[in-house]
Amino acid sequence: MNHKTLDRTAISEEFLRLYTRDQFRIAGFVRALIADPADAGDVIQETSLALFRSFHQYERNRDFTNWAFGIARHQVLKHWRLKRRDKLVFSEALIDDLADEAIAMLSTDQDRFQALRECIGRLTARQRDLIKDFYGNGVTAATVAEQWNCSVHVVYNALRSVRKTLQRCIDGRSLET
Amino acid sequence: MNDELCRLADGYLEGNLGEEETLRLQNWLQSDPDIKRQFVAHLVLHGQLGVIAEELRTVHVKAAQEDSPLDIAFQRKKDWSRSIRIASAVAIAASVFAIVFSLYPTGRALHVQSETDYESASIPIRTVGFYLPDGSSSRARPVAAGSNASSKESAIFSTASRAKVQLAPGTLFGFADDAFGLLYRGSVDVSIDDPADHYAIEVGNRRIISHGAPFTLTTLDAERTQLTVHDGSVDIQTRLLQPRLYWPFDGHRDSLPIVPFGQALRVPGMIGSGAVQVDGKRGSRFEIVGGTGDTVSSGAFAFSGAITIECVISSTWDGSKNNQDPIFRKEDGPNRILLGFQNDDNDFEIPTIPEGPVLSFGIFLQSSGYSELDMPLDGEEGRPTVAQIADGKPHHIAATYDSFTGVKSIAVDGLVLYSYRFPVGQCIQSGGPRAASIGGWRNRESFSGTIDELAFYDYALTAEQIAMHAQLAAKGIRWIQPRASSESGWVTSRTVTHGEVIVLRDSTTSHVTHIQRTERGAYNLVSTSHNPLLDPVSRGTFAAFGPNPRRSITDYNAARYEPFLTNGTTSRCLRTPESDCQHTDVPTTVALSETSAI
Repeated sequence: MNHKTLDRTAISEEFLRLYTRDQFRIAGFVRALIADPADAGDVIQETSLALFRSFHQYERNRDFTNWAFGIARHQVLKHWRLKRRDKLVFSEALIDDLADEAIAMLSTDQDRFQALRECIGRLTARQRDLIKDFYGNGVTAATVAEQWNCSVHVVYNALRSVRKTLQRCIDGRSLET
Repeated sequence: MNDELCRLADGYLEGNLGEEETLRLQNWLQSDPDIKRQFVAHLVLHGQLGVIAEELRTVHVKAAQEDSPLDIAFQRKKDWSRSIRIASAVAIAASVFAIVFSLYPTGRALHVQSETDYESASIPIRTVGFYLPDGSSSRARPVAAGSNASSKESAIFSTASRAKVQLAPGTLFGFADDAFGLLYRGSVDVSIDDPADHYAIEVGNRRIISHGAPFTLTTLDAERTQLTVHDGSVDIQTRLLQPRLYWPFDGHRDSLPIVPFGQALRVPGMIGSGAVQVDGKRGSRFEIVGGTGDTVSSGAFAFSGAITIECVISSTWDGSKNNQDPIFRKEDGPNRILLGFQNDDNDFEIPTIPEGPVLSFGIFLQSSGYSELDMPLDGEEGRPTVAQIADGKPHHIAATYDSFTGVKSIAVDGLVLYSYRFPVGQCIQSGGPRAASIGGWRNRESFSGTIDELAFYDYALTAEQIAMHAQLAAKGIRWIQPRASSESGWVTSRTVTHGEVIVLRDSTTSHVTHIQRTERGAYNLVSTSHNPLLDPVSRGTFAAFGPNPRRSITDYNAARYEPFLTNGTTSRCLRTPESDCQHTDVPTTVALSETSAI
């Protein structure tokens, strides 16, 4: 194997290690800014490929997470630019601002992540199941509604209530610390 | 966060806001930084919940014992509880990424009809030149990569690389790429205007490549092709019988990086130090990073004349109805590549078979479209049953297609058990923009078991090669020597100059540098001609001739040389009391080497 191959292999390994470490943050960032899971999935895929393709440009003295966020941010903005005709879309300037804010939040999200985990632990079993099914297992609200023998609106309201509870819980813990 | 903002934020996340509410929310966010911060916190919560949700699921992590980049955390500290926690987090993160990634598989470039449909939309195919029937530019039409022409009249193919290929009447020619074509039958004249360009024509495992020199190539019969060089020189090249893409899963030699999703783990290998294991649950798989292209017939998975997918698996698939266990899948619309266990309605199978569990090999052929060779797992005619092939033990699998023979086949444990013959000359159209997956596909299909030594060849392994690979696999010996990234996959074996007429044979034995297998299983090289054997690995040559074997190849190296070997006969001088030398043809393993001149 020649030096070029060795270098490329080493670079691939380095990329894989860093990418695997940060993929949750990147996915979380994209999904936060693109609510539609289908679109978010596509942008995450585009982002992962863009990261790999441009990894040779990554300067090793820079923080990989920030560099990756920069590329993810670009992909998110690109997505919204293509959706610009849609009147239900925020302005590009606002999305830009939201992206900056989200990156700032996620860059220091270790405590927040832990807080969220603990807050989920305080939910009722039914609420945890809802989170698990809706987010973890990909069960749709309609399916949950069938299981619960209720309307979809009830499920959406329950999700809303859970998120609100969790947000308050996280904010509360932030104040405590 | 007040109730109204909460309501709007939830409405935004659920896509339920109207134009007026969207505008109101936007104005609010732009005018109040605090509101904006709260809103973003809400969005981030939404994104993070998916990850946390995964933690509520039971995760079993099996620690790999190799130097995988993913397992670095395991080796820094011998704190196993912490290590498992870290690995869990990685697996969880990967799982959620997979879910976000795969639950809703629509794409901008590709339209997906619904979540339950597999991709069927066409992706543009790369254009490689123009076809001019009878040389008439007024009837010119663009040519897609991987298409072919069986012309009754003469025609000209003008390539994007500025070569001109004139097809004689009755020629069957495959337009594999803008830089090379495939001659199945007939005769072609090649000219290249710009010496900076080149064009190559493949005939089986040989190719003729010209950097400006005009030449004619004519098939004489099934095994012989005549080359005439009209000016300058062209190179005859022999295929390096090594895979184009290879994943040993040992952590450092994979052709392209792979990323785990769900409960997909690196585990100790069946061959070598590493393999990948998938748990059979929806979403679990490895995705290959890169290797994609903008169009069909581009990227690392763009195959044209032939393909072999080879791997070692251990499976615990149950064979139940609608349970699909993909080993590999790349879903570029109908131009997909697929290898895996299936028990579906056999929608695409050629030939048709009754419904039931199968080992399926799917590719898109230019004239037939996408089809699957579905080998029934029925225990008939030497084929294994589900219980036999999914017994949790290692099995060698090889799926091949060769457009020069038209044969598509599936081999298990070294035996070709199922095949179908298509018309000769149907090129593969594969590759494209979608990511390839190992051991699963999106959130729908997941392999149950372990996959190792996954290799993609751009030629069809022969039955003999497959048998030998399987024998080595059974012994735990690696048989693949990866192609270096700088290698083209071809090595020049001879340069032919102006005025020469050469006949290429499929498996030439005329220059008898032959190889004898010893009792110990190793090979001895015995050169009997002055034309030395080209060492495919070192690129050097072995010393010519000698009464005694000059070199011995160990078992390991035999695997490296094995693809270059074929069976033939050599003339041996046997001394008897009546005669000093009696020439006898002796069956011998010989190296694919040179051409013979006429």
